Amino acid sequence: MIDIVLLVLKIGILVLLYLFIWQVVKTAVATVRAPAGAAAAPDVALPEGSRPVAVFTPAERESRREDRLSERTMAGDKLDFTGHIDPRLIVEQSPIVPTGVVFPLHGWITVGRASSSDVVLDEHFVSSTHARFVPRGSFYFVEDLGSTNGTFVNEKQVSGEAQLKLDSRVRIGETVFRYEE
Amino acid sequence: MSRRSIELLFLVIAGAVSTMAYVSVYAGRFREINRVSIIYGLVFVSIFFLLHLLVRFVLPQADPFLLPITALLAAIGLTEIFRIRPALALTQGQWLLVGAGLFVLTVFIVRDHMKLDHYRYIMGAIGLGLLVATIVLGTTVNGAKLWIHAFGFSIQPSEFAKLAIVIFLAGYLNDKKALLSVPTHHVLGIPLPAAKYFGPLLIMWVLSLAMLIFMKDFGMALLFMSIFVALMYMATTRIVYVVLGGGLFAAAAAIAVAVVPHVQDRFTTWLDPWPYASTSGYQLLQSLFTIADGGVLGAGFGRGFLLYANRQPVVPDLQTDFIFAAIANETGLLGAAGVILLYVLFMWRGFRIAVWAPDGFSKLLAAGLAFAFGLQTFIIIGGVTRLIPLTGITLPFVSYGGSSITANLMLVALLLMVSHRTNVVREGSDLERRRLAERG
Repeated sequence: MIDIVLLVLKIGILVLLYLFIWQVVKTAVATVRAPAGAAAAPDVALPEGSRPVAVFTPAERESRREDRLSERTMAGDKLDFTGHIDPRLIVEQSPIVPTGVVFPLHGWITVGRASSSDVVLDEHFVSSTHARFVPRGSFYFVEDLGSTNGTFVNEKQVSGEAQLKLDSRVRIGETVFRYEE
Repeated sequence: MSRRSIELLFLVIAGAVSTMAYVSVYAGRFREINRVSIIYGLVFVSIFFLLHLLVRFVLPQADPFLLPITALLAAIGLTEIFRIRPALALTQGQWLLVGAGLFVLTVFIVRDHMKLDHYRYIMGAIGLGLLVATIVLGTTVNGAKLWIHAFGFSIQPSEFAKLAIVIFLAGYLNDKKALLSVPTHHVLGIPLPAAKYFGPLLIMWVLSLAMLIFMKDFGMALLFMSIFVALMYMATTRIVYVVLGGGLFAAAAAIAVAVVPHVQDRFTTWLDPWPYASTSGYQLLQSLFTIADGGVLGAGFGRGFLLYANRQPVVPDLQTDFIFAAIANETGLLGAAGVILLYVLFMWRGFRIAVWAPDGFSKLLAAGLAFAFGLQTFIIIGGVTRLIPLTGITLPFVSYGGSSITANLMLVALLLMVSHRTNVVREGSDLERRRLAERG
């Protein structure tokens, strides 16, 4: 009698052990997919099976059309080089400065680790006086001031100075700025 | 189903396995089934049920699989210890309680593992301090100086030093990873980063290795060495550290084999144990025989040939280093493979937590802990099955040993904290979502 019980226990333990392993894998794989879907979904809970679709009322559609028109006139403005430009640097990625921070450019702007710089970047790969932004006419130039790790415009190292164009990426250390005007 | 319900469900399965295994051992010994064996299962389950409740209220969004895997491994270990040395099972049960207590304390004191990042140098100092304390205060057992005897307990500090060192490395490397991944000069053609940042790491590395080798704790030395290399690689993604670490290790191992007789013995018996069957190869060969004797399905818990008539185990140190051989004997190839799969699942969850973690420190911490856990398992199972030379180290959660089970329960607590925080960052806290849903 006891031997039968022991045999049943022996088989039962092995079965349960593998059931456990199989179920862990199955459940874990199922939950792996869930958060990815949840991240893409909107904050509002939607009924099962429905997908978010952009629907606009006629008034909204009209206003969006106006937005597009105004974009076009703004693009036209850009032809006027002497027009009032508003040069600025926007932080795209940085270990120390929050993304999206805007530095307006006017006159000479120095960047470096030293606290006397106009833009202070206190990170390991930035020299104490690293680079300088200089206006020439209606253009801005970035000038490397002999930094150890270099200044990069669109990932090309700046030797001396380089002219900034709209949406140029300026990288100093690990911080990347986008130039806009 | 919520994470915690999943956890509870798997804990129930683990509890069932634990009860069945214990009943089997008891019935195998006394030829009867009584209430005591069922109560044992319930007591064991209730310890983990209490931990589950703690997690449910404090870390509700933590990974649901780690705790049940831990419970199942601990159950198999405790049952097997009861099988081999019933008197030790009681002590191990008490250590499990102490471990559960430390798990609770870790969760309540640390609460958020990000705080540990601020104490990284203190953690490093604690890690080294524990090793120094072992050298100064330790007693020698079996030729190795691993234990400190205090207040009637014997503690193996290197198990705790392992956790402290991983925390230190995760913090330090996360802070300095950018600097360490850029070589500034070459030594013998090997690109090396600035000494200012690499130096402290090298000093820690050499110190901990030197102390472990001085203690003759080669298993732990191998583990610490690999933790350093693995974390350096994970932080900098520079393969040169792995090559360098591997080369240094090969050189150190070659010297150790040539100079230290203890290591030489282990190495020669690994290559060919047969000429030493009655001397230095005895333990390893007995282990292999015990594993082979299990067959595919094993003899069943409590029915394997593990003890001689005089109640001495067939393999010396069967309840500690060689417990895997006992499990393989009683549950067979399938059971042994199942146990290895449980360890693989544990590592998988650990690395998953690391991959999902939102910041460098959490990533390195989780990956480092999972790596240390997995490698420790590999070193001892590999040693017992003669895949690699044998180095005495405990099998996490399963081997007899209070420090091992306590330190590893703290490791689980840390992983759960990282996982909880990760999920809160990724999907918002459960509380917030419930409030949003109520607002409609």
